[in-house]
Formats: sequence, C-alpha cells, structure tokens
Amino acid sequence: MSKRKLEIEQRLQSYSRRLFLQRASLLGGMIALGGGSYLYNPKGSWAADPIKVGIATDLTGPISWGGIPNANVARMVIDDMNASGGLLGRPLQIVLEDTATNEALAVTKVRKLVTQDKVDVVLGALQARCATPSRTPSSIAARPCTSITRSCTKARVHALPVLHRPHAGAAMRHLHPVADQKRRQEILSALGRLRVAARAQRSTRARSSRRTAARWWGKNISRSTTTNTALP
Amino acid sequence: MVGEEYLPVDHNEYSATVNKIMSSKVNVVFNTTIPPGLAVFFKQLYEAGFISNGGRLSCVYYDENALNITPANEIEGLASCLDYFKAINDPGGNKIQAEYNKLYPGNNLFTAGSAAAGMYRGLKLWEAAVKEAKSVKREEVAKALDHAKIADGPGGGCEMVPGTRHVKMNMYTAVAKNGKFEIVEKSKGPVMPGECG
Repeated sequence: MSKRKLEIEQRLQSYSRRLFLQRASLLGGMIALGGGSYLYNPKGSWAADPIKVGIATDLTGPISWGGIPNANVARMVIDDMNASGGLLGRPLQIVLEDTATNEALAVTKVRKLVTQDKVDVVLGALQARCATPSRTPSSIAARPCTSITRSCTKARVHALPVLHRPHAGAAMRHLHPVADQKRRQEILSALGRLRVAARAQRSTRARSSRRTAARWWGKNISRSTTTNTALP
Repeated sequence: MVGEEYLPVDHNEYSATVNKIMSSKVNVVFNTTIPPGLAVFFKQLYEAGFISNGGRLSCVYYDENALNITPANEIEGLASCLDYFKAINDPGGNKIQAEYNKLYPGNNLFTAGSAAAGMYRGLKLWEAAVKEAKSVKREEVAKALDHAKIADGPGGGCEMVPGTRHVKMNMYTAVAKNGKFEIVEKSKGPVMPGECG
C-alpha cells in the first residue's frame, strides 16, 4: 500500500472514530436530557395566529405503548379541526412533549409548555404520578392555562382550570419548610397512618384507622396517591 | 380481603408477593401495578400456578394495547372495566377506529386504557367549551367546560358533571379470552365519577 493510500485510510479511520464518539456523546446527551419536543404546524396558510395546544405524554420508556396512541389521536383530532376551519377562525398548532415515563421530567415538560411555549391548553400525562405533580402551582400559576388530563381513573377527564389538589410529593416539594410546617406534618402523619395500617390489615383497629386515614387523604389530597402504588 | 401490598413503581421481583398470594389461597388479584414490573408479576403468578388453579386477575387499565405486553395464557380470564373497548362495536368508536387505523396502522392501537379515548374526549370537550366561550382564556373556558358535553365518541357520548371537574360516561366490563376482550357487562347509561373511585 502506498504512503498516500495509507494516510487516507488512517484519516478515514480517525474520522469514523471521531464521528462515532461525537454521535455517541450526542445520543448520551439526549438520553440524559430526557424525551424530545415536537412542533406540528397547521397545514395551509392562515391569517390568524394559531391556538397552541400542548400535549405532554410518554413517547418513550415503559409506558410508551400507551403514550404513542395518545399522541397519535391528538394529532388526528387537531388535523380534523384544522381541516374544518380551525377553532374561532384560528388554526391549531400542537406542541408535543415526551415525558419519557418520568415524573420529574413531566413537571419540567409541562412547565416548559406553560411558561416557554405559552400554550393555551395542556392535555395528556398517562400516569397519575406524572399527571398530578405536573399541574403544580409553580407550573399553572405562572400563566393562566387550561389543563385537561386523564388522571386517577379511566372514567374521568380532569378539567383543571384552577389549581389541582396536589400530589403528595408535589405538595411536599412546594411547601415551605418553616412557614408550612403544620401542613407538611399533616401530610406526613396521614401517610404514616396509611402505611402502618396497610401492614396490619388483620387488625380491626388498624382497618378502622386505615379507613379514617383514607377518608382524610381522599378529602384533602388526591384519590390517586394513597401511597406509592403505581396507578397508571 | 386477604391482603394489600404497595410497591415502588419500578419494582420487578414479586416472589414474596406471589408466595403470599398462593399460600393464602387467593381467588382474585386486583392489580394496579404498571409496566415494567407488570409483566414480571403476571408471569411469576402464572408460573406459580395461580391461573391453572382457577385464580382470576383484574387490572384497572388493561386494554387492547396492554394485551400485547403479556402472553394470552398468562392473563386468561383477566377482567377490566373501561370506558371503551373495540369489542363494544359502537358507531362512534368504529368511525374513530377506522380513521385512526388508516392514519396509524400497526401495533399502537386506539384504546381506552392507553388514554387515547380520553385524549379524544378531552380535546372534543375543550373544543365545545371554547366554541361556547368564544375565547381560549382559562376562566372563560373553565366556565363553559363545567357543563360541556359531546353527543358521540368512543363508547358513546359523555358530559361534564357541573361543579366536579369530572366527566360521566358509559363504562364497560370485559374479560380477556384467548388474547381478546369480550364484553360481559355494560353500564345502564353514563356513570358518575364517584362510582368509579
């Protein structure tokens, strides 16, 4: 092999290695940052500004088998609305966020939809653990925005024009450690009562205690978050 | 009720739970766990002989998409209660199914447990509220959304229950047989949200 050919081959090998490392680091970065964002503009030309519809759902991760149809049907319905003249004479634009079956990411993504993308409505979130904390005061109070989600059970569509009763984790996260100490203790106490009672099911007293705790919990916090049970 | 267990979302080792179920001679397991642990739990339960001994499963969100997660024999007889199944064969649902399947052929099906039916209703109810309010402002939409309704949709029409921020709709109970759902019961009209808690 001539010297020239050898140089070219070495350069190509080096380039391939560099390219591989670049792409690997990019992929690593994408994985570390979580799911992607997608913008679906209305077809055709419109005189009016679009109404922005924010969709937050799990396009990747263990629940993606549910999230993908969720996003598909949103695109289908919005396309139909646009094809029939839009809404109030305005086209609809979708801002789709992948929450990647991750509670923390769901909060970040919904916050992005509300504060950065300035959407007019937020729909989505498959799991209660993603749906509820993503509607926390810091997300919604930042900008008035309608929020609709399937949360605790399939029989409900939550319409959340104002603040939702917070998820336990979200409630704790957004309460001030000193100023809201009483509320934090109430939540912790209710959680503790539920856990203790769940461990001792056979005891009548425990069952009664659990029922009382569950009633308090349902009334004051949220039906879906009695403990860390995975409700979809 | 023989027992009740709460596990972390990413839990994937159910030997202790399965042993407890088998030793307590449990007849029905009411499941709320989700993937990725769900398939492991059902497999361990099946291999322990729960299904072959006549045990029945029930899962709150199991739909046609979820049927693809586990082999049919591991969930034979599983009962699920949702607001829509393809098997109910209703005109509204069939129309949406046809349009959806044309646009998105493949394994990502239009189902209720996967919230596709909920997304459809959510968007349609919001559309109805925006049209009534003639605005997309939150407070005005919320006021109209409080009594919004749609005449037709997957599983029939639905409407908001004023003052609750919840929807009432028809509910259907189905049982998995050979990897397909068969409808065994339908609600007598729309079900109030509180009845499903």
